[in-house]
Amino acid sequence: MKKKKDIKVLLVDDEVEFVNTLAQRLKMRDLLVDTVYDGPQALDFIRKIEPDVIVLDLKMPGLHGIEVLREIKKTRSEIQVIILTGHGTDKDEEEARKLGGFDFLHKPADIDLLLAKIKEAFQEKLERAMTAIAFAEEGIFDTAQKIIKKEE
Amino acid sequence: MPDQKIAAQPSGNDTDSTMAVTMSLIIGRLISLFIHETNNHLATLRESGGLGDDIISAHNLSDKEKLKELEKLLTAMDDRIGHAASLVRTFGELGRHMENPEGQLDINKAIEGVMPFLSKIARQKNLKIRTSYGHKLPAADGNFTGLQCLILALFDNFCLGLDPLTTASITTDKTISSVVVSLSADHFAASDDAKQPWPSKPLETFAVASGFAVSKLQQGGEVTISIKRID
Repeated sequence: MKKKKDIKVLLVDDEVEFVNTLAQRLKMRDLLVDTVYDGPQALDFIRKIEPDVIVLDLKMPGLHGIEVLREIKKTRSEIQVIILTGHGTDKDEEEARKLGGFDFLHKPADIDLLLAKIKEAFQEKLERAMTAIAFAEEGIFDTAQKIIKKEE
Repeated sequence: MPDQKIAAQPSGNDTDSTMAVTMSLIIGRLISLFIHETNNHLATLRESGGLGDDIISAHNLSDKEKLKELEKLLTAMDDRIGHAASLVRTFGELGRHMENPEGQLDINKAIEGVMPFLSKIARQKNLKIRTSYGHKLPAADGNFTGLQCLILALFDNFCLGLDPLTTASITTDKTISSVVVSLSADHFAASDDAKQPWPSKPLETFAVASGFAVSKLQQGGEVTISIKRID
C-alpha cells in the first residue's frame, strides 16, 4: 500500500491565501500537494499529472466547481473529488454526489476531518483499482466506470 | 438603442406583493454573499491559526526563520480579521437601515454600504470594478435601503452581460434636477442570461415603488444603466 507521502492531492480554490495555507498544513502532514486557483487550471493540471484526490471549491470565477467535477468524472473518473465550499447549497451537494463526488464539506473545515476524508477517498481509489485488476485477471475489465465482460 | 424608460406603474396589492417578493430575493442574495465571504475569511483564519500551531509544535522556536514565518502569519491573520470585521460592520449597517428605510439619501454612502457585496459579485464573475463618486451631491429625503437593494440587484443583473476581465464602472453625479447613479461598461456581450427582458418587471416595480426611475442606454457594446430619484 502507498505511504501517506505518496498521496497526491490537488487543491482548487480561488481564495489564494486560504489554499496556500491549507497546502502548507497538508504538506506538514506528509501529503504531496499542488494548488491551482480556478477550474480551467485544474482541468489543465489533470491532463498532465494525475492526483489521487482533488479538494475542489464550488464558486470560482470562470467555471463553477460542479462543472469542473462533471468534466473530471467524464475524463478521469478514477480521481476522487472532495468538495470544500464556503457556501454550498443542498442542491449543490445533491448534484455533486450524483456526479460521483466523494464527499461534501463546508468551510471552515477541521484539518483532521479533511485529512481523514482525503485518506478515505484515497483508500477507495486504491480499492477500485484493485477490483479493476482482479476483474481484468478474470477476463473482465474496467473502462470509464463500466465493467464489461470479455467475450469468450 | 434608444433610452428605455420604465413605464410600469402598478399599484395596490400587486405592487405590495411584488415588492415583498423582490425584497426577499434581494435580501436572500445579500445574506448569501455575506455568508460566502464570511466563511472564506473564517476558513483562512482557521488554517492560518492552525499553521501557526503546526509550526510551534514541529519546530524549535529559537529558529529565527520560523519566528519570522510566524510573525508574517500573525500579521496576515490580523489583516483578515480586519476585513471580516469590516464586512460584519457593513452588513450590520445594512440591517439598521432596513429597520428605518426612509431618511437622508446620500447616494455615495448608499453605494459604499453595498460595495463589499458588489465587489464580491464582480470577483465571482472575474470582472474589474471602478468607482467614481461625484462631489457635494445634494442630499434629499428618500428610501436609502430601497436604493441600496436596487443598486445591488441591477449590478448583479448587469454583470451577467459582461465578459470576464471587463471593467464595470459605478459613477455618481448630479444633473439639473436630480442625482444619478450610473453603471456602465464598454464590452457588453449579449449572453443568453443578458437576453432576458431587462430590467425584469418585478425589478421595475420595485424601483418605482421605492421612488426611483431606471433607464438603460446602449450604444454599440457600451451600456449605461442610470438610476434617478423620482421627485
